Formats: sequence, structure tokens, C-alpha cells
Amino acid sequence: MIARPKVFLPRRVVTRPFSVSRPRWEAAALPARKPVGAFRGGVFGFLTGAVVAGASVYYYILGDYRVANEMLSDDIGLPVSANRTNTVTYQQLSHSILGHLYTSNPAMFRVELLPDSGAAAQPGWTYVADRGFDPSKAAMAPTLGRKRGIRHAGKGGDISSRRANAIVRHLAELDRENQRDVQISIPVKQAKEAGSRGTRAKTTSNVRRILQSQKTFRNYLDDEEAAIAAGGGGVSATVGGGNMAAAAAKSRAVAVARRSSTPATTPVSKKRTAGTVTATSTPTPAPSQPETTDAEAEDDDGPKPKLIKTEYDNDPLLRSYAPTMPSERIMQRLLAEPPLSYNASRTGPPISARPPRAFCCMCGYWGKIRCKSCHLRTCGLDCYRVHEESRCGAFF
Amino acid sequence: MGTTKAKAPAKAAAAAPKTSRNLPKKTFILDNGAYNMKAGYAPDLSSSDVLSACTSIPNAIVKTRDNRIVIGAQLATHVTDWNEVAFRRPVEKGYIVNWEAEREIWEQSFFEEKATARNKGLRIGAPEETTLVLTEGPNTLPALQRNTDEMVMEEWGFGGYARCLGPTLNAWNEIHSLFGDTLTGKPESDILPADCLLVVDSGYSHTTVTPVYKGQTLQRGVRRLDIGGKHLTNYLKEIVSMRQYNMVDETYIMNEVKEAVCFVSNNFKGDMERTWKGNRKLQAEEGVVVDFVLPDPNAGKKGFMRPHDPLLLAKKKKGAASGLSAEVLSEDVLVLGNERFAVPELLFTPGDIGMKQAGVPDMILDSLSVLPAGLHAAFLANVLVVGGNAAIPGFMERLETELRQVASSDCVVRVHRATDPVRSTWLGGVRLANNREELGRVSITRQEYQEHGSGWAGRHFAGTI
Repeated sequence: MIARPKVFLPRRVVTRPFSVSRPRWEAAALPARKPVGAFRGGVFGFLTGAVVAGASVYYYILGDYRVANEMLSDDIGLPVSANRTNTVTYQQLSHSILGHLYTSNPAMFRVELLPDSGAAAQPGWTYVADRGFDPSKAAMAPTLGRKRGIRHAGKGGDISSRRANAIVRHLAELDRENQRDVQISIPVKQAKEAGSRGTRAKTTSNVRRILQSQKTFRNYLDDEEAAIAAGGGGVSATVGGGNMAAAAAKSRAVAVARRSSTPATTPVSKKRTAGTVTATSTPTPAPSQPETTDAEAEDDDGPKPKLIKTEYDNDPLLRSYAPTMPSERIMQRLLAEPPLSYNASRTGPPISARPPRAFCCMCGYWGKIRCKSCHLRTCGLDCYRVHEESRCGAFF
Repeated sequence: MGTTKAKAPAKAAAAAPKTSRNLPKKTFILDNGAYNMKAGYAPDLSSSDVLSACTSIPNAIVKTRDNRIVIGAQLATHVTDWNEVAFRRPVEKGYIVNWEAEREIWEQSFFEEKATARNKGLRIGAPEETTLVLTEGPNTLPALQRNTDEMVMEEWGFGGYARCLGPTLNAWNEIHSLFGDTLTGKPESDILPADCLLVVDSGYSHTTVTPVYKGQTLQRGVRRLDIGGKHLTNYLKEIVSMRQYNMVDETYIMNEVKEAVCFVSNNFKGDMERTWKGNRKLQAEEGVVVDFVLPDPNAGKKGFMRPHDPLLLAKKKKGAASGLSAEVLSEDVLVLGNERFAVPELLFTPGDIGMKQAGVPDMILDSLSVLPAGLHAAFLANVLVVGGNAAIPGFMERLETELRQVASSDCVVRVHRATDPVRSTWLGGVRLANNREELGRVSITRQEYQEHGSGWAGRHFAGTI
């Protein structure tokens, strides 16, 4: 009895599928298939074809769009990465595809940068907007905090930051009074001499404050910059020089417009006299005095040089194109302008960009070769050998 | 000048009765430079030598090698050994910053009886009966201006006070005769500023360009290059210390050397080749290389310059056998070749030390670029150079050449140095002081200050009142 089920079990397993399923299979009655009609087949075929074609066009354009988008982001300077491509919204994407397919929308690739949550800076390179020359950045000493100034001194230039640091340090060195820091205190006065104020009144609180102030120019300049950055408050506003950088920028813009409109606004008669006066005086080879002629033309009516009238006076070929003196009203407005701030009045980089000259650090002749370790220049091997032996400490 | 006259009555009518009544007759002009103060009472212009009333006083407190402290005017007499002197200057970057030191120097120079006994012409016995005309640099920080006003009016209590922009005063000088203009129908007694004048002021702390129109500054055109005499001296000091003797503590001596030997090259490349050590023959012929014999305080000898002697070093090595006198053997000599012109070159190409600023000619154009085009010709034809650096030989020629190159070809370029570039500003102040009407317009009285306070004074000098 015990051995029987052992033998019996496999046999049942083998035989079971046929014996059990068969009746069910036969029992399930499929509906009789009707033959597909030509009309219905055509509709189905067209629909599947259209879907397949649409999908393939969609993916083809999607791929095309990605390539174009990458090129575009290359051009406008986004760091190319998978993240960036995904930031184009789905809506815009479909818009652009629709644009591809149906319309001739000119703003097809309208890429908009969404605020990136992953704020970490990405490696690679990027374009940086060039905001032109900022005179405050070319300071004798850095205008920012001392450390930050040194750290950022090389940014935006074509020289390495190391070199820029060296230059800034050198300039600060040249600006010193004494090589070493020396405290020179004022000799204490004798009691008798101190009493020699005599008839003068006692010192006021203002005087005491000023005398005891240990501020240096740097401190005052920092205060001034802070006041300007805060929108022209503080002391500067009371003296009428507040927010000078902004005012200067604005007035400069005004001046450009004003200058271009000057000939139009000046009265015609005045323009003609001024024009004729300069026509006779300015371009002549003899050294003329424009300022005196103009002054005389304006004030004294007596000794004005007589001009002989001819028919050629209005000849366009003979007309003087020398710019006329600005009118008195413009001059009054120019004279009434507040002074520029300390930083704004610093002069800009040279107009004629000559290549920088380098000199031999040993003898001062042209610096033709550069030391590999410290980047100083020497004029030849003679000087280089001396430099290498004794003075080349690659400290910057 | 009709325009100023036409405009003046409105202001003068209001101001004249008040000021002419109270403004003291005596006027003290003080051009407060960073290196030297130029000071003196304004003499009458009819006197033969106006400049004799002007005295230059070092604006510094000095600590000598033996730890003595010497102030201002005493420097000329009390210091004989200039080795290793240290300077403390109240004027920083061209502006009076440290009033503690400045007050001490002014007291010693102008007020204290004992200290001014030697030079009585400078003593301000009664400030309340004196009008002070004080100069300041362009673009002074308003906080510093206010400090100045308060110190002048509250510490010393001058009867009248005018704070003027230094370069502007130069327009009051006899510009027309300097530039060789013949004026017709202008009476000499009429003291008026020049119409258009571009003042290049190259001083100790910086170099500025100021366009002055009828005695007033066109503020938007003011430009500054942060290189002045101090930087040149320090640069020379640095080069010499690198190449020859260690002179880093000898600021005063190096300043003397600079004043003696430096010149602005009009042919930089050519001069460079001439001083190259490779062609010694040329060196000897051309004579650009010089020797400067350093001063010897022990023997009481001053430093001087002489032509370079290439064999001197060899002779010295031989010692007494060479037949040189003991005097020559003991002297210390600096050999100066390309240092002579490479140092002042900084004023024209600051790029040589890596500075990103334009040189003086470009700075002039930068200044003009913001002014109406109609004024360019007038300013370029009247460029006046003042300040100590103007005395460097070759400066004017180089400036004129380079300015001619960059300026428009339609314009006449005339560059002139003031007759006395250092005291020119002071002299302009004297001429302003002799025009009582104008002086009354720009200055304030003690009473007005006491009534309105320093804020008002600042606005008055800024021209907003």
C-alpha cells in the first residue's frame, strides 16, 4: 500500500493535462469569424499607417530638435548637460513641433531657462557678459575688501590671477610713504605752549571729533562707496554729491542725446555767425585762438572782423563742418553738475591698445625671455643666469 | 566774459552787500599740496615780484635716524642727515585726511609765535581778520570736505574762507600771454579767468586733468591717473634697490636722485638701445648713462650728478694705486642708465607696471570725450601743465607730440607749462584774491558760517546755493 501511491503519482501527472483540459477546450465555443471587409480594412490600415507615420515623424523631429537645441545652447553659452535639455518644457516642445508641422512660426526655438534647483556650479566653460570697463575695478588698490579684492583681482582680465595679484601688490607698494610701517607721533606740547591758544575760543566738539579720528583715506572711501551703493545717503547727500555714479551715468546719456541735437536746437542765425567765424579762423594754418574769437563774437560787438559777403557763402562745398560751440544754456547746465565720485573720476584704459611692454628685471632692457618658475622677464642669458642664481624665488 | 557778467549781477546783487561788508581785507592763500604747502599773503598785483610772497613748506612730520621728530617748516633748517628719514604726511592721495598732523604743521608754520619767528611774513596773527583761500584736489570726498570746513572755521575761526578747486585757480593766471595770444581791447586791470583751459596737474599723489570753463570746473570732464611723483620716486627706489644698492629706506635721497637725473624720453626705443650694456661704445658717446654720487652726511656733502665714467669701478678696485684721491674712493656712486627715462615713462604708459589706466595724453582725450564736441578745439588749444612733474625735462615735448598724434587733425594743439609749475596755483589764487567781487562771491564769512553751519558751507562751495 505504501509503495503504490509512489508509482501512481507520476502517471497521473503525465496523463492529466490531456484528460482534464480537453473537454473544456471543446466546450468553449468561439464565435464564427467573419471575413474582413475591404472598407473596414482600409480604415484600419489607414489609421495604423497614420499613427506609425506620425510617431516616426514625431521622433525624428524630436531628435532634430534636440540637436538644434544643443547647438543653440552652445551658442548662448549654457553649459551643455542633460539637465539643461530637460528644462525645456513639454509645452514648448510640442509648440515647436506644431510649428514645424503646420505653421511657419518665426519664434520656433524659443528656449527659456527655468530656475535650476540644482544650484551647484557645473564644470566646463561659459560665456560671461562683458559689461565694459569699470574704473572702480582698476583701482590703485582694490576697492573691495582687502582680501576679496586680492582674490578677485584677476577676474575678467587676460592675465592670470597670480600675475594680477602681483601687480596689485606692487602698486600698493609704490603708493607707500615709507618702506616700513613707522608710527610718528606728534610731540607732546609743553604746558606753557599749550596755553598759547590765547584769544581763540575753546575747541568745539566737531574739532575734537576730527582730531581724534584715526580714519585713513581707505576708511573714508569705503564709507563713500557704501553711501553710494545705498542710494546716496549719508554725508554725500548733504553736500549734493549723493548717488553721483548713477547721476553721472544718467547725465552722460543725456549729454550724448544733447550733443547730437545741439546743431538742431541752436538758433539758425547764431549758428551761421559761429560757423562763419570758425570757418575763417579754425582751419587756417596759423595758430588761431578759438576761445577768444568765440568770446569776442559773443560779447563785444565793436571789433568784430568784417567778413566780405560773396555769392559762395552758401556753397555746400565750402561750408564749415566744425562743430559749433554749445549754447550758453548747455554750458550752464554742464557747470552745474555735481562732481563725480572718487572712483568714477579715475581714468579708463588706454584708447590705443598697444601691446604691453616687458622689461628685464635685472638691467631694465627689453624683457625677451621669461623665467619658467617665476615669470619675470630677463633680456638675455647673462641676466637670466644672475636672476636664476640669486633672485629667482618663485614667490608669486 | 560778458556771460559771466550777465549772470553775475543776479548772484552778486544778493551776495555783494553782505560779503563786501564783512570779508576781511587781508587774504591768505594756501595751496595745500601733499608734498609742499605753498602759502603766503596775497600781495598787491602791482608789486614787482608777486611770487616772492609765496613760501613752500614741506607738509610732513619727519622722524630722523636718531629718532628726532621734526615738523614742517623746520625741516629745511633742523635736518642735515637725510638718511633713513621716515615721513608722516597728513595729505593722503591728495586730500587732507589726518587733521591731527595737519593741525600741528599749520600751527608750527602759521600760528605759533615762537615757531614762526623766523618767517614773519607767514604768520597769521589774527585769523578772524584774514580771509583764507584754501585749495583742494578734484573729487574730494564730501566727508573730507566737511572736516576741512569745520577745522578751518571752528578751530582757527578765519574771518573769511574760500575752499577752491586747486587746478581751477590756474585759469586766473595770465594765460593769454603765456600762450602768446595777443589780446585786443582788453584792459590789463580787468582780472578775469581764461575762457577755456585744460589744466593738467601732475603732483605728488596723482595726476589730474581738469577742464575749466570761465573759471569754473566742468566736473564731468575731471579725470585722474593714480600716478604722481611719489610713485615715480618709489619706483626708482625699487629698481635701484634691485640692481645696485639697497635704498628702500632712503625716500628723500631717491627723490633727490629722481629730480636730478630723470627725464621723459621722446624716443623710448632709441634711448633704450643707447643704454644697453651690450654697446658700451655708444653708451659712452651718447651720454645717457650718468653717475649719481650719493650724499655723504658725515662729510657734509650733497649728492650730485656727473657723466658716467666706465673705468671708475676698475680704478676703485685697484685702490690707492690708481691715483684717485681718497675723496673719490670713499664716495658711493649710483650708475643710472635706462632708469633715467623708464621711471617717468610711467606717466605716459602706466601699462609698464601693469596698471590698467591710460597715460596723460589718452587721459586728456578721455576727459574731452564727455564734453560737447564744440569745446574740443578750444580746450586742446589751451592745455596748461602745472605741478612738480611738469618740471621733468622732456615732459612737455612728449605730451605735445603724443597729444598731437591722438587728437583730431582739425584741432590746434598747444601745450604749455606754467611759468612756475609748482606755484602756479598759488599765483592764480592771488589773482583771484585781487578780484574782490569774485572773491566775495566764492567765499563765506565767519558770521555766515556761525549762522548756517558746515552743511551750508559745503553746499555753498559745491555751488548748489
